[in-house]
Amino acid sequence: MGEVDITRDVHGFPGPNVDVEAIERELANLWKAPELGSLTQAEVVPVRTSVLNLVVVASGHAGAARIARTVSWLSVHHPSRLIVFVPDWSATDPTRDLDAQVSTHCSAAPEAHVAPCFERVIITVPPGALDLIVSVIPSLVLPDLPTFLWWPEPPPLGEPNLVRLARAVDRLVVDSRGFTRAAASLVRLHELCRQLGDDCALSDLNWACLAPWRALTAQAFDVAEHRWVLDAVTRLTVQYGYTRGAADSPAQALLFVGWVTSRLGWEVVAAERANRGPWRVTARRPDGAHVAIELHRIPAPPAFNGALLSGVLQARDGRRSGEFRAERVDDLETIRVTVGIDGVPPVSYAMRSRGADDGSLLMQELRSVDRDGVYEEALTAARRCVAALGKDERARL
Amino acid sequence: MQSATVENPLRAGLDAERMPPPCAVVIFGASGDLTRRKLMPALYNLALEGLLPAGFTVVGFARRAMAPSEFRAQIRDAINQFSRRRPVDPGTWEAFEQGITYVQGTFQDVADYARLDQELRRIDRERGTRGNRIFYLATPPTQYETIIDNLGRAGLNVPAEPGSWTRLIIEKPFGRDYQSAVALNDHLLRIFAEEQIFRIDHYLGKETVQNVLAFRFANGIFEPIWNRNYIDHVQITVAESLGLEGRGDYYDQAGALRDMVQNHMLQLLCVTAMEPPIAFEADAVRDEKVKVLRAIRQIDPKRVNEMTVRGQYGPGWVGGQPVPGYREEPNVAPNSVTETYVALKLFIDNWRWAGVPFYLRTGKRMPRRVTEIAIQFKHVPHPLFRGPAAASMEPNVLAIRIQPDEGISLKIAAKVPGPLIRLRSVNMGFLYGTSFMVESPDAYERLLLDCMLGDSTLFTRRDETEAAWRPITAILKGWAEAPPPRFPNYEAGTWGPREADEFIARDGRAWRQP
Repeated sequence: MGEVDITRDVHGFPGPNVDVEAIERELANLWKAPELGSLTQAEVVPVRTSVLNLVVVASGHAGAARIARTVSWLSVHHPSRLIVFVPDWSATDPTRDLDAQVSTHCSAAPEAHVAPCFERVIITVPPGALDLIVSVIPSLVLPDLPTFLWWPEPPPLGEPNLVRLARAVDRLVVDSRGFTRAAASLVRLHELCRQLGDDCALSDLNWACLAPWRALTAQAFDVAEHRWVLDAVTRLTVQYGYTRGAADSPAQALLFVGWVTSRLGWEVVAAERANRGPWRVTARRPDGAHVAIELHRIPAPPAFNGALLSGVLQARDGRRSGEFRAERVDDLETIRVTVGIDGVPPVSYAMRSRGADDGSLLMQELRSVDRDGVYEEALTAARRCVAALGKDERARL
Repeated sequence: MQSATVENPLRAGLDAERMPPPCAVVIFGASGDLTRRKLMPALYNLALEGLLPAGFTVVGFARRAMAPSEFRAQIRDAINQFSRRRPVDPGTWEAFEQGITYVQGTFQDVADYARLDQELRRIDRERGTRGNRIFYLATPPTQYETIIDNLGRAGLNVPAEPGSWTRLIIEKPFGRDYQSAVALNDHLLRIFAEEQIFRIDHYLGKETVQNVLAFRFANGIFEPIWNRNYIDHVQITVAESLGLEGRGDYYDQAGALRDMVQNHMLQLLCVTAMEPPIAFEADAVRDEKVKVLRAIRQIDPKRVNEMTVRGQYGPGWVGGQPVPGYREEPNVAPNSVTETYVALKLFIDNWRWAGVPFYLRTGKRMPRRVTEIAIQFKHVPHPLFRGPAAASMEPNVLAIRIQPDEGISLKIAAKVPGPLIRLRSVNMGFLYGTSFMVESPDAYERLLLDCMLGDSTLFTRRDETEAAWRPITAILKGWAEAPPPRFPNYEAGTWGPREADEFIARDGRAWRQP
């Protein structure tokens, strides 16, 4: 296996400026670096196959290290130009020059004759300098390729420059798993989505976590004999994980409820949550009947704090009843579905949930630059669940 | 609007926008190698991806007496050994194995098919498969007609319930020559309708083969030059570094022409040469492939040696290991004249390809495993650069690599930096595997899923199979009438016999070194 990692520092941008030309010069020089000769001696050709630009705004140097680990793995599978902005308080000192680092990493599989390479640019910026970031992105991205902006930590929702920044890219990827006031932040995320409209697609790694749940749930209702259940749901019960000492994080459960609600055409009419107890939401089906929705948090290991643990749909249409149950089993990485409907043979199936690590989830979200209408509708319905709470209850979120 | 009467509203926006209806797959030859290595791992991977319908069931059918639990244990071992995603995930397996059962029976006894029918009806009742069935013939081809006849006698060839479907998947080789393929088709069609029959050529299930179609028909820039005006010739190479891998019995009866050229290589030729179909739908795509096959100029058996070269490997070294010659392989006749290498030149007599030779070559025990389609363009019409400046200048080559290092490269001429005009060929490459983040599914995963969905685009139709046999049968006839070849004529670990190099050199061309 041939592997080469070449890194160059770009020092001395005067004041709070970023010298894009100096960065581009160093990027070009990387391809002339003698280190690449070790690949060619081994008859391996370094190639740059760029599919997208990935811009990341880290939370600091520690966050940047985590991102580097995630993205270096990702980039082997998906060569891109990666631009990481690292906020650093020392960068606010007008007398201190900003720094950047450019690097290229080439890696060839055993016996392969080509080594795909990706380029990485890390730029230190003052915290909150969204305007600076907005101005640098167009200069550094590779042309004619989609640009994704990944914000691994909670973004400054409500900050006007965030909208400007998002409009400079094709898709903004956030992660509502990390939102500290998850339910309230979902409302602001919805507002951001509304403001962006067609200018930038919005996605959420927390939504990507729901992909296996959505697939398994949909699968049960591909069976025509099961489908009446969807028209006759009387109760939806959802459980999500809570780890003592961690922040209550109902965002994923709310998105699941939002998904079911929006897909089935329900309208949220009321919601309550007393003293951090279960959420109780009332929705109205298209035929006018009410559906009782409950969200319960139950103890779970730290890796599953905020993760959906089960979803149960119960239905009755007078003559018959049915239940759909999807739940995490065994090591909680497997989701099992059981469907029990009067007059129909019971069905059970399972699926390994895809990894919920940032890299796997991000890979899913980088596959498309288009708006995800299903997500946006689910987010809208989730927002209604929150908005339907009483004023005091909302204040406590 | 009530959901029960419309599409599943929960499926919107999911990766799998279509899910097959509940069904049962019956595998004849359930204890065989294909079932263990390919079919069950493929089905398990589909389960892992959540792409199988609720109630999905596999019924193994084979001669050996064993309990369903023993069959399940065998399948689990096979998945652990051969699945691209292993080891088995306990949760997925627990649900998947509930849908695996086994019927012991012989292919010859119609009473065993009646028992199979009863078992399928039980499965319909208990797992909700609603009479939807796929019969997969993973058996030696000698068993095909027997199984097909008995399926018909037991009434298993027709849908079990109103609105349900019954399908049949048949593996290659589909006949031994044109006449036997026609006879097999006639036999099949007495019992099954053409739309029930899915003739599998797993090459068509490969992502990179499908990518050839995407490359040609989703990029407007190539179509104007994809013809005799710009293309000098096409080379299609399928090289294997492996030998027989225990398939001596079969291979010694088949040879490279039947085993590789008649099916896989002609499919590659078709996707390279076909006209744009009117839609990416089963019959539209297959209509265009059939036109290509029908346009292949028939080789006069008397001139077969001018248009083909055959070879057989002797002992040699591959990948640093000594390997025996073909005739020393197990279950191969010591004086066998079966070809393990074949090179041939075909012409497609139509407006687009008139006069453009398609060179096909395949062989076992080559230096490396590689499958590629190389489109060699013509020289520039007027040589602007002469002498030393153009010493290294070569025509453009577009190489579509099917495996390994799947991707596309274009060889172009570029100026070497410096005060003088000197040209050199450089490659511009697109690597399929490193440009998309998801792991490609195995060909069998795609094809099994397509069959469940009733999509036969990637399966071969009757006329396609027969049209593919016509030129091959003419070559077989010519070889049979020619003096026996002097084998072995190439050393294992080389790119084939010297005659193959001379063969293409006569046309002023050379084989690529892929």
